[in-house]
Amino acid sequence: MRKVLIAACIGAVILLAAIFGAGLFNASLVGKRPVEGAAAPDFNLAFYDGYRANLGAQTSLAGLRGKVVVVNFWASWCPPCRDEAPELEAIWRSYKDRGVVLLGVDVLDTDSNALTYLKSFDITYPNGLDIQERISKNTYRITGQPETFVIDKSGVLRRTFILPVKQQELGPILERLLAE
Amino acid sequence: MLTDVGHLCAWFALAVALYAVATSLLGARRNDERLVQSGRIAAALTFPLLLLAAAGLWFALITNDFGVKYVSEVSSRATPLFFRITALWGSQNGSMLFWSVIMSAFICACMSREWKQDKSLLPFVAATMCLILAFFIGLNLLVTSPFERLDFPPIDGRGLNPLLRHPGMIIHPPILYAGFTGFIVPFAFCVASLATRNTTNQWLLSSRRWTLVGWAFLTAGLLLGGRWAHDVLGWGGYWGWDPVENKSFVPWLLGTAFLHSAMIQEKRGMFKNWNVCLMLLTFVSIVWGTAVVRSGVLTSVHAFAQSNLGPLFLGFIVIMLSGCMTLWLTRLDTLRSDNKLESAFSREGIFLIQNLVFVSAAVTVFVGTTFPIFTEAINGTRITVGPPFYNQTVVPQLGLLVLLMGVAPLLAWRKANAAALGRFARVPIVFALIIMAGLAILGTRNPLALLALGLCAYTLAQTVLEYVRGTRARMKAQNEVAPRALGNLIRKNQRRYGGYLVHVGVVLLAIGAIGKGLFGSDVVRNFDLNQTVRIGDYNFTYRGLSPAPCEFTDCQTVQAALWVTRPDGSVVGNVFPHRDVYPDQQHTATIADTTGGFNEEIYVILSAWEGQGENATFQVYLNPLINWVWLGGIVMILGFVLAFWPMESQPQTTTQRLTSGASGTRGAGAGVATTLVLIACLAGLFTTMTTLQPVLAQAPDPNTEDATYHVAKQLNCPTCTGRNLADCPTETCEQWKGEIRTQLKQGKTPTEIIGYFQARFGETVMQEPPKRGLTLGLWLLPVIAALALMITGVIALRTSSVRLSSTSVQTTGTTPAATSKFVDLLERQVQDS
Repeated sequence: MRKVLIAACIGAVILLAAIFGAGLFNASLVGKRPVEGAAAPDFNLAFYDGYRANLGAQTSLAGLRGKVVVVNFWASWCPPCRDEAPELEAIWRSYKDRGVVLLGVDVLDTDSNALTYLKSFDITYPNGLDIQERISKNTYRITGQPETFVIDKSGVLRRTFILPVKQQELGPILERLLAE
Repeated sequence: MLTDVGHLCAWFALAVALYAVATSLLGARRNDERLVQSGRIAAALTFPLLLLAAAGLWFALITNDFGVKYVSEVSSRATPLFFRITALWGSQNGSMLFWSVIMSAFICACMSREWKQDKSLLPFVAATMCLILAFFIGLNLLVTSPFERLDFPPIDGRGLNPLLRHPGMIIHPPILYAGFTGFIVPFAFCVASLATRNTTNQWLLSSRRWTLVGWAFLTAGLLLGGRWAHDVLGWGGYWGWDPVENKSFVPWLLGTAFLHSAMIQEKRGMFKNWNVCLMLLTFVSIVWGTAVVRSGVLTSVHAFAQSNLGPLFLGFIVIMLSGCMTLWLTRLDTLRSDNKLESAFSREGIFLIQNLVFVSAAVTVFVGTTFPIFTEAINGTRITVGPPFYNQTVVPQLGLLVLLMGVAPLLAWRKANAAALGRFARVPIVFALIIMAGLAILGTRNPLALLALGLCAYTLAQTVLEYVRGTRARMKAQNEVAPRALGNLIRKNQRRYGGYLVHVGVVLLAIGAIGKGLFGSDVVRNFDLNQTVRIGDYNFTYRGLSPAPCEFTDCQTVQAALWVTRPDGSVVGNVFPHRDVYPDQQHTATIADTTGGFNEEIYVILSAWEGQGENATFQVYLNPLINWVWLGGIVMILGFVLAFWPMESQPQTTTQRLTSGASGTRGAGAGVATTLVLIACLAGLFTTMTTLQPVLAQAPDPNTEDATYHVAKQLNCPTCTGRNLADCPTETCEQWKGEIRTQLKQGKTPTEIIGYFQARFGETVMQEPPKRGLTLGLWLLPVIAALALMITGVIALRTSSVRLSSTSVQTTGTTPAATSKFVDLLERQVQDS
């Protein structure tokens, strides 16, 4: 009996420590975005109808190796995203034929709102929904919208933007990465 | 300057606490009285030192010393003096200091008491308490110091979080902290008793009143928290099963279980082992709850900013838990019961069942609160365990406790008599049936509501009859008139009849919870200017929007006016719900306004408006009986006062007691007061029946907005923690609600719509975690725990209930209750009448 009790006690301490430890581990991951200079984590994105460019119904980041990729997280209910949308569309139009792919990852949004938003800004670059927040929350661990990640031809994350990006800011970076 | 003195005092307090630990333990080891006394004085000294530390911080807050980082974070020049004072507990660092101050106050009070009888326990009590205090002070000073200075002081501070500028929030934290830290005294006595291998009930008896104080503060703290949430958070409720509420509720459940089982040990010398476990668990759960919230392990509306306290708290919990368990395991042989459980059908038996239900409820709440941590660690999905889970698992257990409250007092010690039980239960059962029939005739068709209110009526009647029976017995035996007999009855058995008054409070609270939970309704309605809309049994007329003076200088207020009348034209009242915008803090507070009678609260929130207010949307909650929750809370606290208030100034002989004039008058006063409270409760119960009727008569409105709202209630806000979609005013939620509306118009069913959201956004958005896959564990664990508890309870009792019934007379005979001839007489009369 005593041995059972001792085992139960040790088990209880380990269980509580494990719960607490797991909680601390979870908390430590909040805002742990991929590191600049390391390989950008791969993901799959299925596109909204009419927003595929020429990439097909869906694409993976790995499938875009050899191109400079800009991943932008947004949502139709996010006011700063609205400031950024025309800038991104302008970038897309200038660089789409030069080996740059812009991927819009829509977070926590509904189809109708997303499509209305895309239409209102006359957006043509590929866009899709982040199903179950797999990309935004579990992989890129963003803490809000918008956030933008710039990935070079070899799949390495080179630059992270936490605030809305501007054309003047992103343009030179893309030029440099395309030249590499 | 004074702030630096305060800072220094905090360091001194840490040093003094550690000194108290060392000298106390050394004194005990060497049996050196001088060292023990030195430790005792040092332990008491922590309080004035920490008070000075707090005074230092207060000085910085009052004089707007923004060079102190904490002051710049929680106060500003615009902050009124009153809130500058309360800003001491407005954020993590200051509230940790405040927590230590309150804990040290309990330590100081405990050290100042008479120690003659408990001399052997003193050094261990002092060492235990000071060790825990030292941990908290150390953590505060080394990791989250409120005294940290800024190199470049800002001109103005950020100001206090607008949510915290509410009277409920001002007194809620100090009272809740007092509840948590108050349990340090019984915990320390328990540890000391184990450490000294003391096999008597001494630790229980000596810490009894402290336990009651801690429990009362915890109860009041929880109730005040509910009131604050009701007034400030704008969701019409009072309890949302938020992780932080839960972490305060777990110790409350365990502490309440302990209060009950401690009586069995006092009276019958049983449950010794169980009581030790309960007390250790209660305090560990308090530290655990504090740790998970303060280290950011659990996210909630209350969560403190993320801090690096986590690993240190983890270490402390492991050490504390291991220490407690080692002590317990090595002292098991001293924790044997003096008596055997003769029959499960007895007062002891039902107390055991009740205790197991309390612990099982606590385990269920614990599982619900911590399960999301597991799912997140395993698959990255942070599920939300919302009210639906607790309503299905914890609420039935609480209902069972209400029933047990009405049965336990009827059972005799050792072995109860079924025939007597039947006789005693007859009147309350008839009363309950009358109430149920009355409610049914008046229109209640919900069987669950009928059953629940019938249960409350039964328990209330049974509890009231306890007073009646006792008074009658006393009138007969002592030849006293009724008020005096009741007064003396209470005076002689303060704890018992105070406890029954707490039970009355619990029943009233339960009635309130049933009213709000089963009959409450809430709708969203759009109004044009001067338009009248009927909601429930009321007409609401929208009279426009206007700017209004804000209570604080850093905010702007927009206020709406609604007139509420009954269909016959009689005025119910006017409501002015408003929205306060704090530009500096980027915060918007939606403040509800209420009107209506005592039995039905009308709670209105201004959700949105267009232009200058030509059109506005309101969320209207009809909260029947919610005021009974507050009333119940007040009665619970009154019950505590009745149990605790010293009515006997000094020990007297039985004859003196019976003839004492002065305390007799005081007793009669208490008797009259209790009678009034009880009569008010019963009268209220009858009026309840009539007020429920109009609420029940409301026909469901087939409005799309309500259907949208109904679906939204089953989903979570994706961007704010723990809030349901329906009650959340953010733009994301508004869009999602729009999607629900569109899909409903397209003819989709609520299940299909919820499925759509789940497929796209995962289980995070579900209010009720599904009963399959990983989350099936959430639903199974409480059941497994309940079964395991039952089995453990039975085994533990069978193996520990041994021998020596003769010695029990000696041990338990020391309690005043057992020696009182009167109580024996009463028990006999109650059993025999």
